[in-house]
Amino acid sequence: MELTRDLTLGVYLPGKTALHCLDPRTKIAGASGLILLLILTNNYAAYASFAAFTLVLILAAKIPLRFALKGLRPMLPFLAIMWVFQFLLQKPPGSKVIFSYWIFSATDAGLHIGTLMSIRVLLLFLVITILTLTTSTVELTDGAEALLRPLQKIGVPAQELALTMVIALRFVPTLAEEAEKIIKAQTARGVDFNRGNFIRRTFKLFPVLLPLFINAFKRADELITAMESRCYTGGAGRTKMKSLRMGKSDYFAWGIFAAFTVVQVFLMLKIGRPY
Amino acid sequence: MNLLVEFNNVFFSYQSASGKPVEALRGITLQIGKGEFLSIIGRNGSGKSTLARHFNGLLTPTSGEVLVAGLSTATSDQKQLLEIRKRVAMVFQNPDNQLISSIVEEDVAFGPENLGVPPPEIRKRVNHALAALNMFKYRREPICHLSEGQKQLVAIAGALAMKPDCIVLDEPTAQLDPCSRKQVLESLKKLNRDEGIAIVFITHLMSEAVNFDRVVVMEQGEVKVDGLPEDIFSRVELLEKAGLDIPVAARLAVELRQRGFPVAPGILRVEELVNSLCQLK
Amino acid sequence: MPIEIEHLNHTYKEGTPFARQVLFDINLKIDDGEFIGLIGPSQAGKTTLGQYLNALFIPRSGRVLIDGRDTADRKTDLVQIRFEVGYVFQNPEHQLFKTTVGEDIAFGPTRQRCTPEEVRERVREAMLLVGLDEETFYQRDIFALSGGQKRRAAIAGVLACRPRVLILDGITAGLDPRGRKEILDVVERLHREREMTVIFISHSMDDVARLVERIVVMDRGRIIDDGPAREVLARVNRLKQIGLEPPQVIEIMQRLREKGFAVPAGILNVDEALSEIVKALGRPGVKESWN
Repeated sequence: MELTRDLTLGVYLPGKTALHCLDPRTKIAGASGLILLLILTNNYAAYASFAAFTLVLILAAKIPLRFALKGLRPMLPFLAIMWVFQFLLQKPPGSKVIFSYWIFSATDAGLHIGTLMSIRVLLLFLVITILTLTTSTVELTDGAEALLRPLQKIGVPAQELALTMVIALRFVPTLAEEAEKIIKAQTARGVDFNRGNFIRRTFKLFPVLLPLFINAFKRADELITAMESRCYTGGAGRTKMKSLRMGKSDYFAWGIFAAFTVVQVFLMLKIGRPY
Repeated sequence: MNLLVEFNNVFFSYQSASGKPVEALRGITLQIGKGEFLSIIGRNGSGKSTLARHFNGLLTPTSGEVLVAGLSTATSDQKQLLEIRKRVAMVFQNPDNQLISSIVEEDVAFGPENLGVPPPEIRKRVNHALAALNMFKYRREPICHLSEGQKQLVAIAGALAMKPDCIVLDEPTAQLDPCSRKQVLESLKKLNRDEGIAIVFITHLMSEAVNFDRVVVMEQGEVKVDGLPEDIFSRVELLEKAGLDIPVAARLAVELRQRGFPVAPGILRVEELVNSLCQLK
Repeated sequence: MPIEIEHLNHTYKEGTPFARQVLFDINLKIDDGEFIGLIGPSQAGKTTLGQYLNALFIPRSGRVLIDGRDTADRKTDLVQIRFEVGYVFQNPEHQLFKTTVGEDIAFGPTRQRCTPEEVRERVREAMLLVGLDEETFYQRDIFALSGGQKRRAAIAGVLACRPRVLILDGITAGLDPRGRKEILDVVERLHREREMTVIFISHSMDDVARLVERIVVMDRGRIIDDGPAREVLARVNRLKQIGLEPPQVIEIMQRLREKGFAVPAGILNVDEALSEIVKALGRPGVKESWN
């Protein structure tokens, strides 16, 4: 039993690829831009092109493909449920009804909507994973902080938010390990997490969540004490050892992103929705 | 002034979960001088952790006062508190819960960054601190790849990077295996010797306290004894009452002396016992 | 209830870029009623190996037979194995999940489908074994327990299942000398009164020396020594090489032997050591070489 084995979110895979060395601002803004494009994408061809682009990114970052894809596995059951609901509940005007029962009506449009949505979520997850695999948490928060800094003028506590992100991301693997220990400890006492239907299995997770939450709070408490002892008093007056600087590869990356955006917009407008 | 930290008749009470008042510290009077290398030992519940948190103002006395370089820790002046925490750095027991960042050198930089130190100077301090703890080659490693012992060394490096006068360590080795424990102790010895930083090491293990120049024994919120290790370890009954173990070598020495063998007094370590017994052959 | 491990290998995060092999060709036979210490420096693989013994891990390479049952066989009832091979974890808070002590200890027997009277009997028995007074603690909230009491409650919870094998993983970690002594007294009593096979996992040599009959030493995923406690502990240099601190008694006797004293090997406790040294020195105050 090794639950944290395929965990990819929040994990950093060190490397020296072009993608790794980009300024984090480029990567965060780029990922956000890609996600925006993803939300607007509305047909299979555009998704195919997006998927191809994502594949190129994965290869460029030297991320083992199996590893990246394995991280998607936990999501599949939820996607399946979502797909079924979309299929059975979506009834946009002008669509052809395949069959109906009670409040459910399956339409051809629903079929497409469900499928497109699933693909969208998968690709979204991949984009975020690529971001976290190639960017250390400190880089991520430095980047986020730098991007948010202009908003400080209107009262957004950029530095504090950034630090919150650092700590949250840094503790994802730690808490995952903790959860694994708790599950193992309870399994050793005879709890069988694999047995029972979906609802019963979910209920079995509550006795795991309670010690996990308590543990997380205890850690937070100790962390605060440590931060105070290390003279943390908020964002004002802090300096940073590393400063961010955009370079040639960043401008190049922006160029590629712009070109890709053009391609996607073209595909979206030219081909249009399949329903 | 040579006095770094002064405890003047410090009392500390708090309300336990059941509502009863608990007197965790009773009349503590203690002085820590520049460059000292001392250990505070006591069992769980003796008040040693509470004492630790008084060193840098995490807790303040209910009565009495704690002075760091002449400044009182019971202050509402942020600047004064910062000054105190710059001079007295703390390292805690759980390595994971005191490391902020995911990468070694970035966590070590956290302290100096908080102090507004200029970036080139931060870089210098981080490199120096990591080198002093033999962790320089791990500077870019993700922290989750380190062993627990290495994580503690990173935490100590983080404290060192603040350029403190004193480092207080609250049971830093409690969760470590013997090998890592030795590593930590040796690093601290080196820091004390080479950089002149005072070290206050809190533990419940006699085998660790033996390594220090001065030992303070705590029991039930009071300082029971304060002196050289050799003097402490002959007081076997006192140590047993305080719930502490005596190193085997020390106990054998005491028992042999009681049986009339002229074993040298003040024996703490294996080598000392062996040497002394060789003299008797 | 014998346990056999054959050619066991284990790789963490297999198939990912973070893969790391932690067990290399482990072969081990554990007989009924043995009291074994499994020692080694941190990251040696002790916990990983321990967790194969109660089927928390199923072998992908190698075989684990618990009382003749292959844990990798799909037909084997793993939940049943976990009742028969009890595992106490280092952090009791991971294992306690009911509200009161009584409820928590009763969890195991209830799952084993004992009648309410049997459950009550087992809870009583378990609390007695670990030294938790039934009247005081049965109704007490888990949250209101001290660290030491939580540890005992966790052990009681495992004991209530009447396991034939008990694995104790790092249960003395972080305890002060008095706490250690108390928990080790409990363990000693358990082995004596219950005749269970006990496997005690630790990196503290002093704990192990006090209790066990057989010691298995691990380092970096391999078993490097396995034999009667006195013999294994006497191989001081090998222990030191892998970063373990031999018990002080052993260390002292070894050094004395090196210096020519006629003291036997394999002494584990202080009183024995004292009398041997006295013997070797001859009468007190007399500067005469031993004979």
